[in-house]
Amino acid sequence: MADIAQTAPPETRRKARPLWRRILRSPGGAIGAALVLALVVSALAAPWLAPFDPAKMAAGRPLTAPGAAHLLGTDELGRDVLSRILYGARLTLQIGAIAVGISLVLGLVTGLSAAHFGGWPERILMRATDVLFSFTETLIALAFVAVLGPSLTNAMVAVGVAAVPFYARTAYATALGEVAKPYYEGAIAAGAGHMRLILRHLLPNVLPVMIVVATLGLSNAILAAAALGFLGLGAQPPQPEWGYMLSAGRDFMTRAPWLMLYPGLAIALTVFAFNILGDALREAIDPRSEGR
Amino acid sequence: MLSYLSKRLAMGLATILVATVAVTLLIHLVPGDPVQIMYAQSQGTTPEQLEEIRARLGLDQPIAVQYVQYLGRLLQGDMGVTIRGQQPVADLLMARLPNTLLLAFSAMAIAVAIGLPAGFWAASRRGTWVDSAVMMTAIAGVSIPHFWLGLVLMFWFAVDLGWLPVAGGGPLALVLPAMTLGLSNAAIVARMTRSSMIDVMEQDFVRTANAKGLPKAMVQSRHVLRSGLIPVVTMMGLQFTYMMGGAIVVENIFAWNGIGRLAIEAIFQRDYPVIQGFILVFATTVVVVMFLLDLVYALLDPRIRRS
Amino acid sequence: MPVLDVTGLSIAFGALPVVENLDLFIAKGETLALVGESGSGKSVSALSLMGLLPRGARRTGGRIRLGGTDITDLADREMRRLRGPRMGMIFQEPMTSLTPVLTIGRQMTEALAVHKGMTGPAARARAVEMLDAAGIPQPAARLAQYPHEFSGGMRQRVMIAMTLALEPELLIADEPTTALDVTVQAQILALMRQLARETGTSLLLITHDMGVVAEMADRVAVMRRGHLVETGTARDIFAAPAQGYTRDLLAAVPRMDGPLRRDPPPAADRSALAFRGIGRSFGARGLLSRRAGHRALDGIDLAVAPGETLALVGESGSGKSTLGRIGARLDLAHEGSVHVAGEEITGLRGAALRKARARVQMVFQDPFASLDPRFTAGATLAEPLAIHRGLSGKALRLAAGELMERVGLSAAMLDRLPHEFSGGQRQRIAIARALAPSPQVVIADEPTSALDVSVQAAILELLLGLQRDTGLAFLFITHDLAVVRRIAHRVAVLRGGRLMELGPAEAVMDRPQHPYTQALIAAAPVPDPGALRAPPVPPGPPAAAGPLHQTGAGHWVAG
Repeated sequence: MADIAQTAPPETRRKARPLWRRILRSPGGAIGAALVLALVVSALAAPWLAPFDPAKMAAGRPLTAPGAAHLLGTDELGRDVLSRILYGARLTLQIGAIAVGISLVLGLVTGLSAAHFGGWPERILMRATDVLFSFTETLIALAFVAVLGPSLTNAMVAVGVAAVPFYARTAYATALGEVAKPYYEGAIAAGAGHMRLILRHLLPNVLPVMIVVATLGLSNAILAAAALGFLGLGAQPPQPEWGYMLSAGRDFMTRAPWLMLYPGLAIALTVFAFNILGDALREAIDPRSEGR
Repeated sequence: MLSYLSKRLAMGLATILVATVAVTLLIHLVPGDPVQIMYAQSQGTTPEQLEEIRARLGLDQPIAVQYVQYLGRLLQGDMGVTIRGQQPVADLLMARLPNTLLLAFSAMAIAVAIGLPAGFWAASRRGTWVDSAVMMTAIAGVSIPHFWLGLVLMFWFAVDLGWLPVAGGGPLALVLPAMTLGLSNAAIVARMTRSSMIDVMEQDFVRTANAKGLPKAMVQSRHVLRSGLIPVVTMMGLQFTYMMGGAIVVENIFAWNGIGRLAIEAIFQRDYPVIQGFILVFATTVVVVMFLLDLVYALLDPRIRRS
Repeated sequence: MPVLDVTGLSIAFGALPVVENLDLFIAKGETLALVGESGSGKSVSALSLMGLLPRGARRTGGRIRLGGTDITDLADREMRRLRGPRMGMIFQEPMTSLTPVLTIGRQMTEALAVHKGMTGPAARARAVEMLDAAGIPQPAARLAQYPHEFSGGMRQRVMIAMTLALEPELLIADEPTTALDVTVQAQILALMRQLARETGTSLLLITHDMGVVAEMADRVAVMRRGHLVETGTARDIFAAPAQGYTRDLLAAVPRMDGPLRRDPPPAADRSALAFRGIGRSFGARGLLSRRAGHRALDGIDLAVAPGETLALVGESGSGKSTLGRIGARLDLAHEGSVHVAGEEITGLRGAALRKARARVQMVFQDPFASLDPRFTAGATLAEPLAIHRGLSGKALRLAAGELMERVGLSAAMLDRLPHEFSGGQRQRIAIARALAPSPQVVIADEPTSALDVSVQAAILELLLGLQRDTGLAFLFITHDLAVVRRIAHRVAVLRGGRLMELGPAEAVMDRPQHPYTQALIAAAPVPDPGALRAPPVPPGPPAAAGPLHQTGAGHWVAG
């Protein structure tokens, strides 16, 4: 129905509302953005917001229930849970940013080069991506940690690298659509070189999709790193990482259920925030995906 | 169809082959001396003993020789022995694999039984409160970490109510781990199903079916659902990998005796032969299941079946 | 009593009205053509009659009567009982309009079961009978096949058979042949005419193509921007259009009986662009399959002289676009060589290739995808100007402004993004980009096919003017023979990757020698309801292609 697409009279073709306004207008986008903002604030302002040093033992009596002195209670070593969760936001953001940064950069390099150059580079890169993809992210991440040994840094790298095949595939699929469009061939005919084609034409047109993928990927990375922390393969004591806190708390499940409740809630809220923000972002960028 | 399946088969074999290479290299990528790291935890190993172990693991050979030897032993079903206890790795993994598969498939059944109808329901009532409610539940479900859900379920049903065992083996002990894994993935299945169905509903052929005046239920069940289920089968493959990955964590929560629990123990103990075996078994399982799903896919889609 | 009677129909997308106050009626056995350019609201109107408006669109007023019954406010369940047996619809895209996972037989018999209570052998017999009537060979065997096993034209036949099997009083056809090749179009139109006459079905034909209108319609209704402009019998509308818009529309349509291009190309001693023995295969590669690939091009020899327009004509799958892309070095030939202004560019790489690209430029079909959505018009033009002419700063901006004016736009529009331009304006910018490096030849691949006729005429005029001013050579790829008459000096007819006929436009168009060229010309619709129409000539088997031999001055024919 080509004639419907063009029905809009010319005067409505003027510049659309800025992207961030469109995101904030949707309820999901507004809630997601507010939660992410809260997360960033707690991470940045942790030293001022936190009532105690997160590593300070015996800030209160061990396993104090939530109350006036300790809003979210204390853990088995008497550390203040609220302070640890606030500082944990720093680690969580750091994990998300580094892991997604690794996935995004490597994924874009792979996907865009494959789509642009075609031929044998395309076949090699994408076959390799396919093989790695069927290894599954979990296995790649575990293998990485098994080689490098458990630590927070290694977990971030492992989670980031494990997701590269997915990012590469998405970037490749999107770029392939762009490379086939006549504007791209027009630019080739205009004499543009490889770097110019990839950086000026391909990247800007692929980036919106990849930003959505990365936003949703943040929640994935945070979950995966928390799972590693939970298994003891990620953050190490005394780091106030939420996944690790959760696993330490499970030994006191019956006596101190708050040790299990609050870190879990923190992870869930963070992941939820990035999920709905990512959905809202996708709808704002591609209105056809509304309600998908 | 044969060319499609042979391509898929080649892809699967390549994956397994790459896994064997990766597994051989793995031990060399470990920073420092792997043998020393492996035995760091057991006291009083003399340098002579370390040399002997190195020779036994073949680590004193050139890497290509090591690979060929490893591959040769692998073809005979030999994955080496564990560092502690000297048990055959292959036997250990094979004894545990059924437990992991049982968990993964039970969880997948739960995820599909809940997620598929929910996703289809939401899609067929797109834009209504039913759709919003299902999707809000799904997005919340996707956001809850399964390890947390597992602990909450354990606290509730096992510790508090005492209805189910906290851990161990047996059919009752399967309920909680399978629920944990199944529930958190039901949300993903629901989202994917809905989006696949909505894609189909916007296709021209659905408009044709409506233009023929078929009753709505017939359009939905015959034209939409059939076409929409084909991508859902592909999605099942992805789901299965999530299940296998999730099983590693869930097995550790509920002390379920699968390969995931074994793997985590092995990583802590630096028991590299077990880790190597685990990676191979895991990758092979995923490849086999994916191939079976490709087969189903090829049979379902006439465009592939009749090519 | 009219079969369909529509009064005051209005439709809106959200708050935006797209159809306002439309009145239509169709008598029994009559064919009404609803004509309009893109954005006229003709397709939405048809969907609204069927109760199939897309999400977001709703009817805001008017009444619809079908055979005397008011169906305006019927509930969905009741509308479903009418759709099929009372009114049926076929759509533009035959490739996607049938359910891929169900057999043709199943898709045909399910509606018979629902509406006519026909099941089992009776329903199958009816399906076979209709497929046979629709000209599908071996209909009984094909019932068990799936849509992907049919070609586009065959699928459209299946759609027609499926829809008419229910014997509707009204058949709505929305651009039923727009996605098909002309030879197939001629056959499908003939089939629809014949079946509608035999069954007494009334036909509402939605189209943008005045040639199709002239061939099919008893009466015509012209729409523009959601309003009915004019309605009348086909003869009156074509002979004496009452409204200025209709007159302009008809005047803009390129005609098969229109004048040929008269001005000869300047004399030249060498070609601007030459193909020598070009061959290209697809799908030959693969690790496991060693099958020979499909031959997309085979032994093509062609040359375009400076200042000349060579029209490359062919249907889908003829290889015409592939040849164009090979000429612009956007694709590689497997055999043969390409020469631009005497220099071979086939083997060039890197910087030498980029330099050579300045001399051969390309204009593409889709104006919406031809420009980088994130580049302003100025940035798009700056790219070749900076790379090939080394311009920068003020000089660059000045040159870009000049280019805009040469293609009929203004320098003031340089800072606009593509979405702020109309389709025709975008195509002008794409032409300006092609002109920027001062090329000697421009390869234009269906540059006007996606445009409305009025815009198409203006773009063709622009191209002709540019050629007169600069002596550019054009390789003009098209499927539209009427356009060929208007702009080409010479014509090359391509089929299945081989040249069928090559010669001066006048000779090829008026005295075609090859049977395929003759079939193409016979199939092209003529926008004249009084024109004598021969029954469509099937284009014959593609095998009839031997080496070219000369039959007249510069006129070569295969076989």
